[in-house]
Amino acid sequence: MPDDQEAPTPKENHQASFQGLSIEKLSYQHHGSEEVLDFDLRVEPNELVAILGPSGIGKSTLLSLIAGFENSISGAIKFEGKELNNLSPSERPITSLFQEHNLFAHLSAEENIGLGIHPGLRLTSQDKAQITQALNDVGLTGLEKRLPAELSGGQRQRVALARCLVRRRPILLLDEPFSALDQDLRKEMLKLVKDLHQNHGLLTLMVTHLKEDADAIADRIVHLT
Amino acid sequence: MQRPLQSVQKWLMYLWPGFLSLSFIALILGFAFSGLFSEIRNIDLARIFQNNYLFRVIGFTFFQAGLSTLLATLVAIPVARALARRPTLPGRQIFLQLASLSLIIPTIVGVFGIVAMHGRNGWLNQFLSLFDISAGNYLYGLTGILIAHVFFNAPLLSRIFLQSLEALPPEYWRTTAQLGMTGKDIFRLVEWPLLRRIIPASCGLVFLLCFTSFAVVLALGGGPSTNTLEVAIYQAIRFDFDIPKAVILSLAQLSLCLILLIIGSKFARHVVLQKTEERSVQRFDARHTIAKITDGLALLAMVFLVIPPLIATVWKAVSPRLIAVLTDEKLWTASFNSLLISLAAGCIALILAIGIALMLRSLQSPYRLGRHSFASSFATMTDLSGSIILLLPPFVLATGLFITFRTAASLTVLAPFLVVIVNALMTLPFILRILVPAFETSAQKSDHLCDNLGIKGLNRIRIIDWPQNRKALGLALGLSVALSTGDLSVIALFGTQDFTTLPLLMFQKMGSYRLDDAAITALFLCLQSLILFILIERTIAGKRFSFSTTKANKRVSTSA
Amino acid sequence: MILRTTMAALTATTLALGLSLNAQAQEQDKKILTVYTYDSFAADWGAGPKVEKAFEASCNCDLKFVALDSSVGILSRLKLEGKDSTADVVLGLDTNLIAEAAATGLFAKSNVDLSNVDLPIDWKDEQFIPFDYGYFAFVYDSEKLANPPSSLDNLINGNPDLKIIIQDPRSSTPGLGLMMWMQNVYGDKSADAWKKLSPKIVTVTKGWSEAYGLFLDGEADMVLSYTTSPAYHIIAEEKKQYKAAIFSEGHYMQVEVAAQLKTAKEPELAQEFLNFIATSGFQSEIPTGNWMYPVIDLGKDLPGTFAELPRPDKSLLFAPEEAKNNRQAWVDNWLNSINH
Repeated sequence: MPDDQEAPTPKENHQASFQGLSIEKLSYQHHGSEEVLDFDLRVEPNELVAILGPSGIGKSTLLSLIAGFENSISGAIKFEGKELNNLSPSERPITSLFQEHNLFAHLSAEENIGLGIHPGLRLTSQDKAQITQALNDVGLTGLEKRLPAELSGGQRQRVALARCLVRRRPILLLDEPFSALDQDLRKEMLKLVKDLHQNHGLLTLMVTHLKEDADAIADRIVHLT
Repeated sequence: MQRPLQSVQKWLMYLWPGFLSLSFIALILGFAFSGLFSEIRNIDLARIFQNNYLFRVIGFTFFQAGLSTLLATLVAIPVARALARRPTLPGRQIFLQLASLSLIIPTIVGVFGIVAMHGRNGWLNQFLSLFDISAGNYLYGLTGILIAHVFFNAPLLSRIFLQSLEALPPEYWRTTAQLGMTGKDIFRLVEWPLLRRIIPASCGLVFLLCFTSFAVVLALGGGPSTNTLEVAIYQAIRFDFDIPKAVILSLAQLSLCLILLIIGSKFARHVVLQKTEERSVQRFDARHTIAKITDGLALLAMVFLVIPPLIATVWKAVSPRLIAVLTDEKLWTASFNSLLISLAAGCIALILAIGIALMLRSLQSPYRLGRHSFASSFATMTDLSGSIILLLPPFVLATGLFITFRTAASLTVLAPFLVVIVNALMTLPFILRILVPAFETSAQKSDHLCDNLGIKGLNRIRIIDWPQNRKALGLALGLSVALSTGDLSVIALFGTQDFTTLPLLMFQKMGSYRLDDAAITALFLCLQSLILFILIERTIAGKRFSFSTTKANKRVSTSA
Repeated sequence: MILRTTMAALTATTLALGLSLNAQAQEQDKKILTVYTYDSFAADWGAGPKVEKAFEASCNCDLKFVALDSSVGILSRLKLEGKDSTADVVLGLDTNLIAEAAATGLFAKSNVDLSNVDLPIDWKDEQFIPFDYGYFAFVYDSEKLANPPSSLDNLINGNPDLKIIIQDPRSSTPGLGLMMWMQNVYGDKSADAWKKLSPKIVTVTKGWSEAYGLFLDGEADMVLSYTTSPAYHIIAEEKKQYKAAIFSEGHYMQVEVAAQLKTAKEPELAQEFLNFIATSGFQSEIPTGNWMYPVIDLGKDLPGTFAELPRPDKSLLFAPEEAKNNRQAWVDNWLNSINH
């Protein structure tokens, strides 16, 4: 798994020249509000970009649009030259990590990760081995059977990251993932993200309101204004 | 270490309102039981137990309550799911409001609507006869009981289920969408595990309501093999005046339900009756065609179950008899009696409930007595005694009370008081469910702060407790008054043509098969119950005045 | 806040008190005779209001009917109230309940001269006086049911699609009457007979009114009522299609009775009323008010329709003692064999 280059070979097409994620003239209007948000952004494959900006500017909205949780009124989201706009969230080459509630409270760590392999949780022994491997990767060896309530905040986010890994999607979206953690833990988690990003060749977008977090790991910082 | 005397003082200081309430209840129960036992001279246990009718009644009571609960749950789950994933569905708000009314709609009115819809000449058969089909006479008996119980309880359950589904974090739905979980997966892995946790408590409540159901079974039962314990108790008193039999049946009901309650409380958590908050949640699984079909079917089934009986009642009420019935003095006398009884019963129930809720608040708050070793078991006991009242057949209580006091006054004089007292006790369990959690939360929020700032006594009531709890108090009094308005239990035992309430008048009209008149009375009863509920809830909760204006007023008054 | 709710509660209870006191206050003006009866007798359309008018014209008193939901309800109400009952007179028990009522020891001797009473049976009871009688029967609409059963046996074993409505013997005298009827005809085998009859029963109602209403609304082919019920349709509605099926085994008879309570607060008035019952002033209201046969010969005052109604060839009746001694056992037997 570590050296897995999962991206499908792009069609040798004259237009599909850009292989990363491009957000082109994307407009969004919040339900019942007059204000229109516009986004334009290009992210290279294997790039780690941090998105900074004051609250209410639409940082999280941008991630929701990319993931397909919200719909734009115009513009395009493309990855490897293919338009994603009309794909459902599960069809997009994307995996997300939220600030909290990433895990289902009544399912064990193993089951929460297993959902990333089979959404109906029908797992083979091979799948289980993969889950164990993912838990090792995030430094939680042996905690398969724990419920989220029996894990610390940091551990919960690690389990969620493990799920992101087993999903093997080329794009990782992080929405204020560690804001609820204290400073030391945050640094540790940021390092883990950076490692996973590098080892798995992920295109990573992280929304944060903390400049120091952005500085710590990002290849590039985008300020939303 | 505290000296024992101080500790007793402290307990008394916190618990006197509860002790007052509990003593009052104990006194009433004591009078009732002493009356009953004075009538029991010889119990022919053999006759009661050799008779397999008793066992058939018990068996049927369990059977119908279990089946009713199961059906109501099976209807409620898909409906709750459909509503949970469609927050912007048109008519959703109206449905939720209707569902919360299902507690307030008088049982006898609901029963009437069901007859108008499902009777041999009901709307369904009239509709089917257009195609030369006849569903025949399916209403009287088990089917009727089940229809009515599902009619009353499925909306209640779907609201409770919806409330807990809506309490799930919105991130869950984004995660399920991204992981590509299908509707089936989501139900199996996310929704069902949650529902399974609240089902013991919520369905347990519904089971008890069906177990002790009276008016429904009396009106739709259709014969002795569909008698429930509660109806058998009524019959033992009303038809045979067989007090020993009534007492034994009551004891059977009490002990069976208690066993259930104790088993239930092992897994149960509190079911809190409160309003759902509106949250904007986007459910991606709602877009699939299958989801649209299943949700559509579930909602259609619920609408078909709940709406036509209500419309049929209104439709029947708009008849040429309308003016004649509305100008009938009997209707207005009954309405006035109902008004007085419900207000008196509601106020007594509220005062009793406030006492108990204050006591439970002190027992559970760590700033008060919560740290004492027996505080929590004492609290559980008090809480349980609230539910037990639900299991005591009102007829038995009322009969016992009457026997105790019959030498002092005639039934004509006593009947109104008995109806008021027993109604007050019967609504107590419901309003405790509203007041207790409200008082507890407010104490948790404010106790520490009040101690710090030295806010005590009347000041605390005025500044802290009243504003924090007036909403719950309004809801509690409104509910209690509405429940007593629609009650048809003790009044069915003691009512005569000189002393009727609206539900009894309606029941009499149904009994003499004057259905147009019954429909008009039903509508009138429903409106009276609703208007009282809304008026009381609004007035006490102070809903007409927004928070900002009261604040502004205060500022003005302090500066002046 | 507590203060305010307390005040509200106090006001409400005071009002409730006022409510019940008010009912007492009226009693001061005129002597009141309180008569417990069943609902259909006291109803606006029943015999009650006319009887009340006729009696009040001569007694200078206020006759007050307290309507209970059924005649069995009257008896249990009396047992509940015991010696503290407000009733002076009870009107509406029947032969099946007499012995049980007498056993309560609440009833006084009637002292009414019954010499002009004209009943198909001898009347000897000292406490209870008859005020009307009739025969239980199944009533049907001859336009809808062309071939009604000709016997009880035929009803039970014949046409399996026939639907009937009956009343509960624990709450209603027709229901009790049918139970006695079955018992009288089938004896020990009545449990089997009930089991066979069960599938034909649409519903068992608490009282007569509901059963009859359901029948008129088309919910069943036949309803348990009286041989005299068709008279109502003929006289009041001019409809001739409703008929009572006459059964070859004979029909169980009902004699409805009245009696005075020992604890009556107005014993003279009560006595006056009991005497009034056996006169034509009361009796002439029975045929077209309670739709039963009067207990005295009314001569020309009896509507012709009543003379034309078919009478059963044979009337069946248990002695009051026998009814009393077996009622409970027979009810238990009924409860156990009926499947409704």
